[in-house]
Amino acid sequence: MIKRHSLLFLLGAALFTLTLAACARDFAPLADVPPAAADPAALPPISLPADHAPHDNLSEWWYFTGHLSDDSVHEYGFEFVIFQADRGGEIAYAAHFALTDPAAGDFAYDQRTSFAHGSRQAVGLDLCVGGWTLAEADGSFAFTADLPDRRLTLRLSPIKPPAIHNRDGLLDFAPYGWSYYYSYTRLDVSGELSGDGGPAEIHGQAWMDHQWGDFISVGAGGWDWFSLQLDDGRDFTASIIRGDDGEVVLKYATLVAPNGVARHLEAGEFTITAGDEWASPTTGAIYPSRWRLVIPDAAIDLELRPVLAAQELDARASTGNIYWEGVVLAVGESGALGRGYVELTGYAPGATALSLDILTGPRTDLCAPAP
Amino acid sequence: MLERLGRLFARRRWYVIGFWVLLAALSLLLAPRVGSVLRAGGFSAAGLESEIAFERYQQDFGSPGSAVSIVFHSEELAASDPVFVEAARAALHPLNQLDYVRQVLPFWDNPTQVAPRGHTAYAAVVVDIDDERAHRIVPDIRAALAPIEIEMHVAGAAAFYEDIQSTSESDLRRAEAIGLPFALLALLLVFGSLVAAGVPVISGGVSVIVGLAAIFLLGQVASFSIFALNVVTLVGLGLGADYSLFLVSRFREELARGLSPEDAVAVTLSTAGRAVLFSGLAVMIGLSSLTMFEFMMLRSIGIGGTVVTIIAVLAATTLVPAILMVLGPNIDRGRVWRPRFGVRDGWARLARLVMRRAGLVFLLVGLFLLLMGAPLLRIRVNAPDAGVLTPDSESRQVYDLLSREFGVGHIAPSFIVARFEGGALGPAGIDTLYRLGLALENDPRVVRVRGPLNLDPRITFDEYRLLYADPDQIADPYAAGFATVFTRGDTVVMSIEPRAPAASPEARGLVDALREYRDRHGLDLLVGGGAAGLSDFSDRLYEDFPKAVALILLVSYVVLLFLFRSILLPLKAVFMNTLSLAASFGMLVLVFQDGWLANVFRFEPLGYVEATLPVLMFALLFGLSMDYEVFLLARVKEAHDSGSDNTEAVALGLERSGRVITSAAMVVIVVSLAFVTADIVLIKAVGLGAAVAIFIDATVVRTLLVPATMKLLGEWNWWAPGWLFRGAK
Repeated sequence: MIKRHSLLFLLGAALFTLTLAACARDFAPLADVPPAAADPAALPPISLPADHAPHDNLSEWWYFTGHLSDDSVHEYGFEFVIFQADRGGEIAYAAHFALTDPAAGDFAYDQRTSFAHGSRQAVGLDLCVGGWTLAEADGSFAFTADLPDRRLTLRLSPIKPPAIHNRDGLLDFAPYGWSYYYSYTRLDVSGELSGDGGPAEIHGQAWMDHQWGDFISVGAGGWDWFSLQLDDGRDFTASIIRGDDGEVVLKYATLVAPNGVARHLEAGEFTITAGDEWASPTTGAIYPSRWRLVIPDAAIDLELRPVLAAQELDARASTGNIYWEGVVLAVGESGALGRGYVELTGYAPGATALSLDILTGPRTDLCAPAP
Repeated sequence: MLERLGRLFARRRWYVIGFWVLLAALSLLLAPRVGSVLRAGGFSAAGLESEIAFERYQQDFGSPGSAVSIVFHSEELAASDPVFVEAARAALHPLNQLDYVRQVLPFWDNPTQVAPRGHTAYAAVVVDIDDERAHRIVPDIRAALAPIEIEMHVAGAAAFYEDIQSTSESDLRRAEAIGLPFALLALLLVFGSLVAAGVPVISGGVSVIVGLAAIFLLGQVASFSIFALNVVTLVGLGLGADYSLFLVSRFREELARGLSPEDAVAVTLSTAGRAVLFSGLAVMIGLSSLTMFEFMMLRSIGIGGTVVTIIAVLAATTLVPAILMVLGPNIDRGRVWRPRFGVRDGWARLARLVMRRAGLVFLLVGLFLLLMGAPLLRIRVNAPDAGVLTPDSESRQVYDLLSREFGVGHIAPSFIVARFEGGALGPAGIDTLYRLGLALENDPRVVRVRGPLNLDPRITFDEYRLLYADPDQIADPYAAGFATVFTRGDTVVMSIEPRAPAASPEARGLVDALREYRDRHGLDLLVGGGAAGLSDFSDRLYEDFPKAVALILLVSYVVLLFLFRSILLPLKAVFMNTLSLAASFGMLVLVFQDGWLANVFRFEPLGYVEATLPVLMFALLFGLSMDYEVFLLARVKEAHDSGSDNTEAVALGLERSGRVITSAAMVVIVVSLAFVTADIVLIKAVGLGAAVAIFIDATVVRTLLVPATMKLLGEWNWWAPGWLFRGAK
């Protein structure tokens, strides 16, 4: 009997084992991954003209500012910029265009956006954002932009070689990323400004900045940017970047000689001090104004005076911020010694007005304005 | 009592028949409408983490509504091509006229709805109808879509369930069209006469029709799964035919002994009828165990199966005796052949042969069955996805297209819902979500993570901190967009697209990893979505399964204890039954998990066994295959009670039940095999599993293992403590 029962027991045990067959699953824990730190030192140097074209980086912009006059010696300042933001393959373009007419006391601006998915626009620099265009060919640039009552078409040809900032063209914003940065500090400009009175030939000089890298331009304390084209042939640019606590975290400048040779200036080699303030009646933001620029080594001591106080752009519908960007005159003891542009960001609380549009806007026609 | 009832039904035969005719006629009005009460899904239960996660999402973000996807595909045109866009726009335009369409989200407004290759895109149609009923509007949506030149499909869970329902219905028609004639053929083979063969077919048919009508009525107050349709029909048809076969067979025996039709009916009901009642009880015990599960899908099959079993038992014990009384000796009318089953005394001789080498046979057959059951050791169970449909069904084809073009993770992503004190994008939220996002983005099981801290892997932690420094004043448009979509107050949601299908062990492993991460870091975080839902479903299912198994075994044991008045005999019956089920389950693993004979049975191997299958099969087959054990042992006991010793009683029992069990098994196998033609893999598997289990039970178990075990146990077979059955041996 024991033998018989053993048989049954064996069979039962085997059956029990069968019924214990586990539901299969492959478990491996999620590993804690240390964040990878970018190393700007490992990046290749700027290579032109290839680097005029858009890059696969978080942020990029092409900035043009300049001073124009028509045959009747009517003067204008202009700002035209295209921004490219890449967030995980979703690419947004924004463009701002502003015209300053100091004689008329008029400052007008507009903005455009368009969204791409997965791929950038054509090879080379050939962008179209909501109908505004920017292209580069054979070392010269061309753009077209309009305001409700005016349309500006310009061709821009560099007079000087590109100025590579911070010696190698690379800025380390660690821990907030890094950026490439070069400028054409003086471009010869010709084109057409169309308005109510019909088209008018215009000409002048412009400045071009191209900056790109894995950084996000908004959210920190903001920055003050200065560009000056002096009558003696020298050009100067400075950037003063503030942290979220308002303290200056990065300050540098470039002085370009009449022959185009660029000299990097460390923070201690120049001072820029604001002597006034301007409160925006529209946004309530208070901006610094009327600066004194001193570069002892270069015998430069100038006052930078805005030609108009109200040169503020509310760009919440495109880049999500409010900033001041306007024409300034460089005035010395002996009178006006040059012209320039100043950009001031981080003085007004920004918040995008785009909201979900940027995630759900049309992707089919980049030249058409986004809703 | 059964004898008296038999006489009553015999005398009042026309009332009984009239009652059933009326019932069947009324049922014919209701049964075709059964589809309208059947519901999709039924795989969720309260308290599952994935359910709570979805509830929390709904609570904080609002109900997303049910969505039907309209998929567009062209090999020639890109989804960005104006021709493609215009065609899709034209197709979708009429949908706005439908009352229940809340919103149509086209692909040209959302790049995530366009496949990476750019030739496939979908529009999401959000409807104000709950998930369980959304499948009913799919035909309307199909009809409303304007015809266009490019390839267009209706997809999503609603379309999948609509396909399941229409496939179930066509499977059913096909199974009936094949099963009924073949069952009739099998019965002709058994009885040799058209009239005798016709009675079980009528009984089976009436059981199904009345059963479906009963489900229609029950469906007004309870939820019934669309999967219940085929299982209920299989049970109704199989049992209805099986039970009346036992009765017809016994009736003919009694007529042949010279009894009058009324006496023959009375004896038939008191003997075979009694066995039918016990057998029905065994089947009901098995099927009703399904009501222990919280999942509507199983519960409704349990209720439906129990109801149809009751109807089959009632039809066999009331309608069939009445018909037999009407037919009397005409039962053998329409004779087409005279059955001659083997040599006389063949079953008894086989039993004696087996019992001479009882130990060896027991060991060899036991090992054989264990070997057959061995694949069960590597069973992988998983909840059903589109794989339950055959590759040529539309839902399956669209599922395959979307998997190929978007990746499987896009179709059924996982998600986490987490809460952080101080706001979703407060310091703790940002810190945790960044680390979790980084861990997920670097995990080889993950294709894509979407969340407020997963805009782009190049954005550093400090940059995110700056971006979300003031959650109410986010300047970066993308970050603001992501914050709007993925956060509400303290709650944040992240979507995770796994590399492997939601039903795969890899995707389930990822869900476990997320939960382990949560526990390791003490987070208020819940994991939901595709893989989590499937994982939670099968985990809960197999938490409850042992309880259901224990209940079935215990109740079956107790019922058999009273039937056989023995301690060991019911134990042996339960044990033998479990063995044949294990062998059948092993075969299911080989076929449906490993893909053996996949070409023959026309399906694509799942790589796993559909999770409900073992549960369903156990509940269904334990009762069905117990039938034969009951019939056999009842005859053995009868012989033993009449004075035969153990060995002789086994031989006589096998001899007397041999033919009828073989015939009954043949009918159920034929009916079950008709369901193997189903396009739904789950139904195919139930049909095949039932056929195999009953085949094993009616052959190796009945003819070899039972006699061998009976011999090995000897007189212990009949032992019971005196106090348990006073007056019994």
